[in-house]
Amino acid sequence: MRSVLLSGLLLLLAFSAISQGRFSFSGTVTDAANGQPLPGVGVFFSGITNGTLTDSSGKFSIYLPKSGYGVTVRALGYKIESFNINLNQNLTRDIKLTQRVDELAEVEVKATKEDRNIKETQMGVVKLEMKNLKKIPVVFGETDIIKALTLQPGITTVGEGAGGFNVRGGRVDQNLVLLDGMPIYNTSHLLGFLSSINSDALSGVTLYKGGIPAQYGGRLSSLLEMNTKTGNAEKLSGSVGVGLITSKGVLEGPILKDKITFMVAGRVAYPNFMINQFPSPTDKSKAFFYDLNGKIQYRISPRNILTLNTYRSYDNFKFADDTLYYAKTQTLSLQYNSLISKTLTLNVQGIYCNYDFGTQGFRKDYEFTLNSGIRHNEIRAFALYTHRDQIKAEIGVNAVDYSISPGNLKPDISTSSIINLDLPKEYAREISPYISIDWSITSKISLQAGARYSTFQNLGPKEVFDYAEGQSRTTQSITDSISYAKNQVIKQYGGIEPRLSLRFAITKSAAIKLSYNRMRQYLHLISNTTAISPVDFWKVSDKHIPPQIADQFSVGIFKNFKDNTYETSVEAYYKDIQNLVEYKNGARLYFNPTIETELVKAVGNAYGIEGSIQKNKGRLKGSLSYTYSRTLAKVDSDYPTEQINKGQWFPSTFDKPHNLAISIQQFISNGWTFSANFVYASGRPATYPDRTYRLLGKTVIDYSARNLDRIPDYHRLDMSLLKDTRKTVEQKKYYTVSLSFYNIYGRRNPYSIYFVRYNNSIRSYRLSVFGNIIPAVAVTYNF
Amino acid sequence: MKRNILFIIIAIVVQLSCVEQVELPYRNETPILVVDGEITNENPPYNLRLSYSGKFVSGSIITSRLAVNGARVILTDDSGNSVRFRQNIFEPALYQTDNTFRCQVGRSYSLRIEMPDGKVYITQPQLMKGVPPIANIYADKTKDFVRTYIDTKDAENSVDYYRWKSYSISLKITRGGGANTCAFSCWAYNRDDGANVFADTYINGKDIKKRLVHFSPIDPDAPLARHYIEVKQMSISAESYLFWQQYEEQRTRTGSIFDPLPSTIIGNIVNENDDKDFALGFFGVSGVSTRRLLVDPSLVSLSNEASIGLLPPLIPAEKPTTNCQTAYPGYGCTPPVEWK
Repeated sequence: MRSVLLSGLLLLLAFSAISQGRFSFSGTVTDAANGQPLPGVGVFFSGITNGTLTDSSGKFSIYLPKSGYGVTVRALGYKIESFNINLNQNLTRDIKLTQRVDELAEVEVKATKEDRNIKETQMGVVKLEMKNLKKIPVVFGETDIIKALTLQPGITTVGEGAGGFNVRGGRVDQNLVLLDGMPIYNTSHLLGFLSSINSDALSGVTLYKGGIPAQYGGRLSSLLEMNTKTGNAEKLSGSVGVGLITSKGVLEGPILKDKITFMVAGRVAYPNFMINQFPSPTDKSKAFFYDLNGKIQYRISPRNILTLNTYRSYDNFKFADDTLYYAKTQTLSLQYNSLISKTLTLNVQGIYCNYDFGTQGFRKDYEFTLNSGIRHNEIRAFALYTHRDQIKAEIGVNAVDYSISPGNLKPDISTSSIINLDLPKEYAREISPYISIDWSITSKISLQAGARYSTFQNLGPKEVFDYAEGQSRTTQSITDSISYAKNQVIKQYGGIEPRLSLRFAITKSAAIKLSYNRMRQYLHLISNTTAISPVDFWKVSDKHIPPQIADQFSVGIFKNFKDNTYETSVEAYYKDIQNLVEYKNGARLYFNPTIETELVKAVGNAYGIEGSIQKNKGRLKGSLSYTYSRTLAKVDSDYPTEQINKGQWFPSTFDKPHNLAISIQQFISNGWTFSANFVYASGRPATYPDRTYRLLGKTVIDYSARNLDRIPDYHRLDMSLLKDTRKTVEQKKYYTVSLSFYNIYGRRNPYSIYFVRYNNSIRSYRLSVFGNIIPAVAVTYNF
Repeated sequence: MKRNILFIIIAIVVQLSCVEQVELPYRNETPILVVDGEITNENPPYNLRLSYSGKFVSGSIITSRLAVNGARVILTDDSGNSVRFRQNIFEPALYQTDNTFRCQVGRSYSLRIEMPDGKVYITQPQLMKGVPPIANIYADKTKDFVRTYIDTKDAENSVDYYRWKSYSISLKITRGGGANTCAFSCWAYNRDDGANVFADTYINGKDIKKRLVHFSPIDPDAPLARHYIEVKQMSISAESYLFWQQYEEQRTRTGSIFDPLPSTIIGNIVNENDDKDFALGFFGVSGVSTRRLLVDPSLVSLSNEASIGLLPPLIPAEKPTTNCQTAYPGYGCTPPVEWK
């Protein structure tokens, strides 16, 4: 608006001077790439202090005394255009500006609203800019979504090389990870070193730490939504990349002009050379993995779209010569999206997901395969109604059918001593209708309110044990076993899950937000190790294991400065968790037909405050965040074998109170970008010995209290240089080369501290996964 | 491109992870009772060690400072017979039965410990189960060890747990001093400090093949001397299996993601009046079958197979320079005459 007024004013001034030997210079400024007019572009003339600005349609006009001028046209994000004119008559000239390559990410950011953090009702949301992802220095030069997420406040991991992530003190299995709506049960490759989704295939990543929309449920802590790219509708394009441990490629394009597009992405790993750098005996291991993403979109009509998505991944890891771990995921989804009217959208999606994992043994006379798996079939449907951009109402339902195979053991050859063993399958059904409304009540107040009613049924066929009342559940306290028929309901759980977010705008650039949500989780990852391990398995809630329930309250204040150049926020949260699954001391979990005898119920709480400053514009971008948070659990039972730490509150394994993350990206010139990360985190809790005693003539270590000690603090600095060979934004064939240095001062950050007996003394050792600086190079060619 | 190659080379040279010894103090909780012993169907006396947890220094005998003095310990079977474990006057932590009370397969036994401070610790009755005989016993060798294996047949219609105990007697050569006849070379015991346990869950009713049960170190100065090996195959209870399995896990910790969270190992001895007060250690009841093997290293094949299921003992980097009989748990100056 200001620019229009300004150019209008200049125009008036110019008219009044027409008789004094002046001439007009006018024209239109457009983007060279797409011909779009560019408003607010400055047009400057040598020797004249005031230039002119283009109006909303990219037009400019100015009257100047007859003379020769040097003209400079400047716009943010574009290359400067300069030329000379000789103004001895009225002149018209159209000017095309070319985008600067270093500002590409900037343009991306603008695609989403700059001030969405202020304007949207949602809070606790992290959105990753895919274009920026490549600029973050990473270990082995492998761009990794989960590692990028852990630079954000409230998101941590238990250690380097550990799979999964912890959100606001939640466990790894409390994150709902969706790829185009398909659940991903295994988020890592290589036992946790890399995340299982190829970032090149993605167009967007959003993580909800709180205020989770009513559309989603089933996990306590967070929702990670990843969406793959839709194929290029114009022409065939893609990229190939070569790194130290993986090579990857993306290919996309039209199949049928304006109707059908496709996108395929694949990644294959050759990590053995990296594994060889680890000390013995790990160096004798061998590993391999690949993953594939595919998407076909069919535009039946402008209002009806059908999308087919698929994802496949395979991993294996062979220890020494005798054991191999494998994991494979296969998912498929068909989605139909229809714009019934201008205000009503309908969406129906069918999902199939199969996750299998297991162990193979090659030892002579004991050859075996032990397989476990989870199958997830789901239908989700919703209708979205929009009223004048003020009210968005959504109603929908999702129904999931689970079938879990806890373990199937079979001998691989007839001479093997291993017998056939098959633990009975678990079946369950979850049906959750929901309703949600997004309402801009006034320009200052908006509300997102929703409710989800989840119902869960554990189904037969199954033999279920009953245990004696008033004593600890053990195999000895089994009193009866009841047999349930196919589809017979063994146990039902459920209830309402309210979701509420409120926003009050204080000024145009500041807002206060509040949110509350209740979540229920019916699926549990059973794991008694610090990090998730390849033998961890999923289990549904049943007669003995109730669903986990979390209530989260959060409040935040959001303020942007300098025209949204700086985004700042402070968010605080408190979570109360019931029915957490904990493990008895020394629990035997894998292949245990009476697993309920090893599990105990815990209560938990988590609280924290997250502060963040982000700079989103200019040649220097970056963020700084600091989080103080705690997460605690308590297991109080009448039975000594079930008690942990005498029934007192104790810190969870991923309780790391202080977290600081600084990330900067500085554009230098000619396509070079320098990036650096610095992270600091308190050491995670660990269990140190507190007693020694003598058994079999040898000293034995006793650990009587869980998680009361802490490993030393973690800090690390990474740097990287990225070169983009593009000269213009239209250039389709170009290279990007990244050179990264992970852990630049080579700190030996402890992954764990452990104690072993050496003769009759106790020795403590520190294990560092990456005990050195790790340089890496990765090259990508785009076409 | 030259630069890229350079960095790949650097990445190869750098070793990624590392394990370092660090000095960390550990907490010391109040001492509690530790019970270590078992009864079998072998000839009495049966041994039990009662001590308190605390700071231990080298040496395998529990000093009187940490031994339990004056406890009254009674073993009772399911038909009401009982026997006292009495404190040994030479080794204060050791309590022994007399030579007449012999335990039998098929009977249940319970232990009662009356502590000097009046507290009473008990075990639930445990059945002494029989155990199948060792079908085969054989050996191979590596550069450093003679490895002994056994085969046995698991019973079909029962859930069985096994434990193997073993020792060997071999010739040791030292750089030692002293004037007696075997100051520089003696025959000594090699005992395993591990708990070698097995459950038949995955092989029920089938053969247990090539179970590694013993490492007998080959002295580099006497590579051809004979090894006298004895293996006891024992039936143990499910509780006992879980106990020793955790014991092994803690002993073989590597700090990796596969390490289970460390925790206290709860045994089967608990305060009669307060089930939250339990003793450390385990009191076992086992049926035993024994086999012996005499190995002449020159007659067994050299193998490069990995050792599965059992960790080899540490070999000291340097040979002891003291008298052989004090440097090693001595058997004698001459080998056993008979080994059957």
